[in-house]
Amino acid sequence: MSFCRIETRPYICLALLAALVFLAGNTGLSAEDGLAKIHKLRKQGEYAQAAKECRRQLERKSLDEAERKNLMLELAADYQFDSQVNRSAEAGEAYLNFLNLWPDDPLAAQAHFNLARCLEFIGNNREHDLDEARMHYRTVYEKFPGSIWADQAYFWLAMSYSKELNKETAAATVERLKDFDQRFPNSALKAVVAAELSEFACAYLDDYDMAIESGLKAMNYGIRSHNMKATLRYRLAYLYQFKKGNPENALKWYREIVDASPTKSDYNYFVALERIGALEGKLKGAKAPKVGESKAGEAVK
Amino acid sequence: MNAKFERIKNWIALFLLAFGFIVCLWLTLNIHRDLKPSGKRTLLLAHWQGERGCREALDKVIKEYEKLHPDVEVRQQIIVGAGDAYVRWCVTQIIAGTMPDIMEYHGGFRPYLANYFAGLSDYVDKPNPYNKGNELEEIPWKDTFYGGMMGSWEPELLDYFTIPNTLYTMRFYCNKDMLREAIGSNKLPETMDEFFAVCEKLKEKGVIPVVAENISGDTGLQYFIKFFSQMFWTLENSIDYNHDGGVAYFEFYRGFLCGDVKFNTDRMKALMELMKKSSDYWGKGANALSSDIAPYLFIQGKGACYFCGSWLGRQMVQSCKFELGDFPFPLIGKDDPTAGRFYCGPWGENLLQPGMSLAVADTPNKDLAIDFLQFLTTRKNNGVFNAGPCWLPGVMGADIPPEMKGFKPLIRGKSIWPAFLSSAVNVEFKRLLQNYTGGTYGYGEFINELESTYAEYAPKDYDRYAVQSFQRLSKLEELRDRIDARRQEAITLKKESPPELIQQLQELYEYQIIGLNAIRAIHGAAPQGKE
Repeated sequence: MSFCRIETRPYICLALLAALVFLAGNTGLSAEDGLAKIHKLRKQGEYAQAAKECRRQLERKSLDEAERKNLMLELAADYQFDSQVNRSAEAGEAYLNFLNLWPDDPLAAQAHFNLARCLEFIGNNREHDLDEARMHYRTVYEKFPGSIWADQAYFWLAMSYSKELNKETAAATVERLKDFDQRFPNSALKAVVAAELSEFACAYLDDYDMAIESGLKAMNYGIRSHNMKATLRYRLAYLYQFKKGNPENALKWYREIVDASPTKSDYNYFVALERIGALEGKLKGAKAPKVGESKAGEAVK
Repeated sequence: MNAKFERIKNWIALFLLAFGFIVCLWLTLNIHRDLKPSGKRTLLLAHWQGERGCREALDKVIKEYEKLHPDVEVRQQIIVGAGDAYVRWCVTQIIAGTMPDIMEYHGGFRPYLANYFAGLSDYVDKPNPYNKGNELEEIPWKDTFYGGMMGSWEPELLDYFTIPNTLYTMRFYCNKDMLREAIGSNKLPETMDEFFAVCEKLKEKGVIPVVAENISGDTGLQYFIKFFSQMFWTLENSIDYNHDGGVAYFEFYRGFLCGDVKFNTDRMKALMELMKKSSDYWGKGANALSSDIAPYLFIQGKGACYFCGSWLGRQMVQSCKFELGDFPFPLIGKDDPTAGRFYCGPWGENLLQPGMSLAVADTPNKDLAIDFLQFLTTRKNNGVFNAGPCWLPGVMGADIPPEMKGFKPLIRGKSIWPAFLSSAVNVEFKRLLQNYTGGTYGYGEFINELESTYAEYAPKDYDRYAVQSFQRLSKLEELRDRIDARRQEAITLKKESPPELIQQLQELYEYQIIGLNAIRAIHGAAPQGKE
């Protein structure tokens, strides 16, 4: 029983320890479990922990290429969305690492897009690098036109020209966005872009024809947010009434406000009711009641 | 001898400490034993509403629910001390993992919403099953509330998290006996002119016409807002740049920088004259009264009127030993000698704020908690609950307590928030208003200080606002990344991208754009924006 002799025991212990270390390194979580753990950590707001877990997973030798790609993008995202510390620089570096290794991979579009977002201003990064961001946006829709990031990249590229809004910058953005729906007819952003064009045209360019045309497009494409829909309806009614002198169309949109009001007790509902009264009176040639002549004291029914 | 006595004293102290510890331990264990379910599923509901009648009314609804579900027990925990104390308690429970199943929502635990509370979109978009058989049967649950639960929507989390139970409005509570004695009739004032005449007569009789509170309460600010809502409809035409029907903070700021809006105008001067006239009837020391003391002065008959919210309903009804009345804030009217020429129309209460909003914790009892909230917010039960503390029901068509009929929201008018009152400006504005109504400042000093205060504090406020918006946008960006990842996953598996992901992406961009427009408007607000 020489292997149990006192002088051999330290070697046995060392060997066991080495085996343990080897096992610990190779019998950890599978890549799939690891991703679940990373997502859980991120959901809990533990971005630093998630990034640490990512790095740990990336050190594993048994990773295949697909797993490695996913983990590298995860690591970059953990840096990018860390709401505690500004880690945009590390995020940018992580995306660049990915692009250096797989420049033509379909997922490179995602890396270009998120890198551009980091370089622009989202992700706590207040130091913009617009030129480089624009270059990456352009790469997304030129090199990967069929990717799910192409329309988004085109949109943000246009928006990057109106960081500080005034007539000139608004006009530059509008110029780039006005054919968005033709370029990307199936985009989920079609309605949003039309609504944004309406906002810019109205608030900065005083181009009420474009504000109306884009507003109508946005409504046709189907805006989902209640607030945005309410804003567009009111804007259309207001512009038709006060800027275009078109009481028939104004009436149509005021009636939409009334019909769409879920509770019949919101502010625009009553404004619309009053204006409908005034416009109907005007169209019939009767003396229109003025806004504000309604009697106070009428309570919720 | 002394040393021996010292030793005994030490032992006594030690014994007292040990005794105290054991008593505390026993009490704590008792509480836990009390909270342990008695073989039934137990729902815990925590809130801070210590107002009279609230607990009893909620118990009434709970009893009905327990009758319907004999295997369920609902217990309410009232955490005394609204505000900080409640938030501290809640956060402790959240962190300790001992959260009650339903918690009254407070802005202080908003950061925990996403991870520890249940999103309610799936439920509020469908009808409330307990409304079966009544008029609300087919209406989505959220549309059965005044305001369509708009206050419960969390735009950056894209979900509803709270269920409102009540509404708050403000009225003058009045001592009808005193008023009758002063003016010789039961007629309550409807216009400011009539109101000032009544106040004058009360003053002549040696009565404080209005009990005002300007320390922790803000009678002055409330008056200002009511006057503003009647006189500043003109802002819509001058600085509602995006024509969405309202003037936001950033639009006011842009208007200020562009010179489209000014503080020192004849309109503002007339408003401040009304403020001055009003403050003459607030009694001495109004600027030193807090909202703890003011209602008691009114209840004790030391003042004839008190401007306050419906939340004090039951306290007023039960404590006042005189004939209690109420009337809405009087209208300025076109014939008002001071401000009639600037009168645009009546004030309104169409931006209703929900109250006692309950959030559902993400516990194993989540579904049961939502079921209980659905039961609590049927038309009938919401009426029963609000009848206790004399509050206004949050559900449309629920019975309004007869004592509170006068508090029904007056929605035929405009509710215009003075859009220059961003947070730091608001604090400074209250101070200026106190100095003005207290007589320290004349109009000139007040308006000059207001203008310089706005110029100094507004940019700081907007910068803070922008930073918060950036943080919110960052959250949206993360959500966008998750949606994109799922869309890409579908493409990799050669599947169609699920339509709900496209919808989610569109919604997310819509919210992102609303937020972005605000930030850009703030940073881009420059004189060249508009002539």
